[in-house]
Amino acid sequence: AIQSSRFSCVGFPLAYIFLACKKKSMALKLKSSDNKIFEVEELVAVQSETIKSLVEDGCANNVIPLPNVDSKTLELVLDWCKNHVDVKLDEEKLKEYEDKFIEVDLAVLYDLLMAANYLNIKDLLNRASQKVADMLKGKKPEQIRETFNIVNDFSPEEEEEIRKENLWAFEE
Amino acid sequence: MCLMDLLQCSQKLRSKCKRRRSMSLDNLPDGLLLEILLHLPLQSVFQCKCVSNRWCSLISTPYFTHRYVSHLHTNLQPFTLLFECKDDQSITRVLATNSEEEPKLKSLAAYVHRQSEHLWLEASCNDFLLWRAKDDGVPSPMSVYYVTNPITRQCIALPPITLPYHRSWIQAGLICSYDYNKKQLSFSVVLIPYFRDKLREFKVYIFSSNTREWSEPMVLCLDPEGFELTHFALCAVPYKSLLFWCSNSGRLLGIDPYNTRCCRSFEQPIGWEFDKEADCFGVCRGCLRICQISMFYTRFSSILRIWELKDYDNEGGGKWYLEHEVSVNQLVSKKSPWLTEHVQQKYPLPLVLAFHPNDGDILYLAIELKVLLCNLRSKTVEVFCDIPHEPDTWNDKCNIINFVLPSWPTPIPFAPSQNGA
Repeated sequence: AIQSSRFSCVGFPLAYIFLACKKKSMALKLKSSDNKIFEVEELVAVQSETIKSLVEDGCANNVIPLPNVDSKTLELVLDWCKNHVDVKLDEEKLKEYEDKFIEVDLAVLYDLLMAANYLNIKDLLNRASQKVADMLKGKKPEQIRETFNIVNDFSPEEEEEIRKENLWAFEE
Repeated sequence: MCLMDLLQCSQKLRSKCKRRRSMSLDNLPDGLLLEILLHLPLQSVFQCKCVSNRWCSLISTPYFTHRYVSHLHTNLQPFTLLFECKDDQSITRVLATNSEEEPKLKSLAAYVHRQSEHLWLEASCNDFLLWRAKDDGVPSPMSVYYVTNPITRQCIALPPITLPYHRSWIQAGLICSYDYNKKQLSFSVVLIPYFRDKLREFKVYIFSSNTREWSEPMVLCLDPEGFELTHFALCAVPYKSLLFWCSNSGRLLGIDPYNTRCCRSFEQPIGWEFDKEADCFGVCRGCLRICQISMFYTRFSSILRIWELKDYDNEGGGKWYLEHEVSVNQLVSKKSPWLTEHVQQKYPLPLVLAFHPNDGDILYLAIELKVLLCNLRSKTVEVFCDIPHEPDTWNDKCNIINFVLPSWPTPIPFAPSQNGA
């Protein structure tokens, strides 16, 4: 039953799928939410666990639609992936690249977070989360609300209560 | 739908539009927000509880705690050695640490320093400390003990207890246990009087956080010889649900605070020098350890020996093995020539402060008002830090307490969330 469903999903004979998989570093086509097609090497794209499982299931022969990622973000994400394919790249250079890569404004950072989460790219998700965390660190709750547009839905009494409970965390 | 609701609705819509334009962390799904918060240092995480209801409830879940603790790269708990000198102005200070978190440590140091102005530090278990109120000049028959978490400043005062002994004849121990079925943490404080003669049966005083009362059960020592606990005994060590006490002669007694009729005892290790007390007692790499420095006249040096209790289990297993035997004058310091010179004198008798909790080869020693880090495998010794103390108050009545810097602070059962003792 599983095999037949694969057939219908891909629309090619099973033998063809095996052949395609054997070929090293096949090019994959990814389609962003704004309908742009990106052609990338498989080795680059499979750093996304989401795409990897599609490839493993043999569902990657046609264009892979990524309805949750726009072309601007996808371009960035693929750049990250390309730079993380080559494991031989020395650590220092990689760190330099990552630091530069993540120096983006908050809106782009959000998009990257969402994309990394959807595409399931662990190291990018980690790096982007770290970046936001670095921006949160050292800020008081009211500053955090202001910077990140968060509505304070505590009553003044509730807020006072929670602050009192965690007073130790506010000590310099 | 009333007008109010309509108004609120439109407000929500408007704020939603505004937020979409300027992007808000609130737009992220819970999973992503959690991912970000996991990257924060502990203090910031607890500050973030005050941001909004959503953040607070996200951080307050057991799932978050679990992820946060396992997210840390190392599963080795950072620890700190607290040091107390029992003179007239007993002051507790942070002595040594393997923590890299400077701010956390500074606030811990300031806190224990403040506390020690009116409290004695008695014992520790994980990130809990046990304190006893000092007399304000007037001796009182009542003793008041406090259990605190110096990270969160949570503090609970135990009910006062009247003891038929002078307080300097009492030794206190603290042990925590976690009930995985009930998902509940509890702690016990055990007070044991010193006695010079070996006793088979003696009374102890136990406070349990479950009953929130003191009880006075009898301890029955299975060893027909009995057990003695003299005045300069080392701190009690909590180990595998028992609280272990080490007698001067190197014998161990393990008391189960929930069943005092069921004790464990261990004879001193083979090779123990009698008439010489134990120099250090503690836990290293999950095993009980004991250390003794004995004089070895023929070799003109003192010998440092460490035994480890191996194959310990609840069925009565456990045997001492000699782990290290080092001549103190063999130790060499690469960085401090004076130190090499010092230990190569005839009878150097360093004070053994503590075992390294995770590294079996490392020992903390004290010589000449310096804390030393001694590697018993490579036989090297280096200055770790200065002892922050007046020279004249430095004697061997000091109290070294191992405090675990928590990756997530343990809440004290029934304690108000924040209080000053």
